[in-house]
Amino acid sequence: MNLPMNNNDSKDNSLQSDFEQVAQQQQALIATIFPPADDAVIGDFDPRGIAIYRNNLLATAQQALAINFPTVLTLIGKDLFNYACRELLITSPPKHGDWALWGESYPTILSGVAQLSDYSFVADIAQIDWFRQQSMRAKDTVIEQTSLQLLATHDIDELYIELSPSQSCMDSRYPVIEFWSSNQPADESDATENNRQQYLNTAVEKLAQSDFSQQVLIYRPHFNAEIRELSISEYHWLTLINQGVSIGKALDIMSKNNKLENDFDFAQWIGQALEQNLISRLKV
Amino acid sequence: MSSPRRDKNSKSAVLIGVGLRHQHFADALTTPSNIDFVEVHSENFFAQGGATQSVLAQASEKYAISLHSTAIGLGSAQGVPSHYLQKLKQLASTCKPILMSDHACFSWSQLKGQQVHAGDLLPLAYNVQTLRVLAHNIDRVQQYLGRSLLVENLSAYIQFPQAYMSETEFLVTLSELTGCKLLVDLNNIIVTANNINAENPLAYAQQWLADIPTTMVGEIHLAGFTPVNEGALVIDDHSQAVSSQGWHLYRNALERFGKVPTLVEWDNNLPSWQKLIAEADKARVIAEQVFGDSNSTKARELNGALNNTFNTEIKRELAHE
Repeated sequence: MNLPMNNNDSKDNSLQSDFEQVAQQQQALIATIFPPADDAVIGDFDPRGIAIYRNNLLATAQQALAINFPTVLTLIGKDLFNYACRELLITSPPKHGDWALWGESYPTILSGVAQLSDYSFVADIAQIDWFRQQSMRAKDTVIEQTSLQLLATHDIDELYIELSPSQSCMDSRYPVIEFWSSNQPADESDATENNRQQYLNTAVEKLAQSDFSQQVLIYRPHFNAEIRELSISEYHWLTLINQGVSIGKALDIMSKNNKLENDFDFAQWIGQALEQNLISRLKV
Repeated sequence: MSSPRRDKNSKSAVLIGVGLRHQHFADALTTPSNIDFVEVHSENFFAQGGATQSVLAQASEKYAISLHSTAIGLGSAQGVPSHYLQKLKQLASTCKPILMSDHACFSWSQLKGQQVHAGDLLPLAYNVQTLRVLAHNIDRVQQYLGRSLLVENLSAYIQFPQAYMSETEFLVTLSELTGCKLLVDLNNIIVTANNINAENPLAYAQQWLADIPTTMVGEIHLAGFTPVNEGALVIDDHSQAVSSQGWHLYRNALERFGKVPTLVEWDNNLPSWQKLIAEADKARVIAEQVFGDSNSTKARELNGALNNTFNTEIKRELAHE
């Protein structure tokens, strides 16, 4: 490519110099647009134009977060949601070139919002929303059927489970599944309202339990991500498998854990895991 | 590579497409539509799996695909990260687009010492330094993708004090340097003309087109914008039907640049799929008129269709041109 040169003596140095100059100009504009630059000096730029870029940024960011955190938006309302969105833009500006990947830190931001200090479960609801959105974007996987034959040919101490990239686990001190379910959009029928009330009643009952905690699985059997409650044993099992522990070793660790009820049945679990598309393959 | 669904008997054979947005997925996949291609925003299909990939696969079966990116940030002095380009290349290998494009803008930069993506199409300073940055990045991206890009003119709301070239001089030189052709967005020219208070926006836009060599244009974008009060800047919101000025300019553009693929964009305040396709029909009628192809199959179909109530509206609007 024959680029026009400012100085023929050193093409590379000249190009590098151009990059540096232009980078400074562009960084200055970025700093003017991103919050908290509301009072920043805008130099020779048309203030009406800067206002458009600032508004565009906020509007696009809010729209992106509303897609990634629909339950949180329903739960806390637009004003607080957008306030936290602006905070996220300040602490974790987008860096992927894909708004769908922006918002990983939103649960953390929400946990620091003063108005939500009495509602700390909101951050956990946000985590569910985030895992669900990422699950629905994850690579499609179907179990490698042939890999199941390894169970017949190898000792389980040598076998590992590769879990599907669309599954995630989390735990919470709150009945987040009930809270999350009661805030899903639905029709305005009485049945929907009754279900909503039932979820909340169940949540209140669970909250009354001492040292309550809930373990949650987010998974994607087909296109839609779903959530279900895990037993403590299954949660520990999935945690160990996610850490790369072999099947045999994981079962051994669980059997020696006095805090776990001895209720985990591997044969039963693998049947359910296949139905729910939790496993990509077994491997040695 | 997918073949555009074109009428082989048509002499004009200007490929006409529409932007495919989420709300229209079902209609686009189930309704017979008189279009040659659909344009999708690349980043909306960067997911590794899930429903959007399935939709794109189905759309690819039915239509030729144009990949229009909004986040490459070709003019970024920060450079374009490899992780972004890998996704774009992967997507292109999957859907085999007939066209690939992005804007003459920047998006990647640094904020407080960390890489940031602006999430917007930010304007460039039209000068030699920026031109060299843009050309270098385009060269790298084209090499990486193994194909040429179309580069779109921007609607900008600010001008850099460091700018001293005209937009057309900048774009023409860029095309000469990189070999990339231009995606001329007619609405963006009109928006810019309004925002710089051009005395006659249409005349400004016509001169803009006259400044571009006749072989340098690879695609045309048509769109509409929300009118604003005097003194306010026009925002390129793609929320309206193509304006009468836009249709007038489209005729001028076809007369100058020939049979260039044409896309109708509509991103906000979306109409029904049928209304969007009707906008594409208007473009097709103009193309048939410009290239004197009243006997082609499509022209006959459209002329017949113009007798019904819905398309009488099209005829009336075209009569105003």
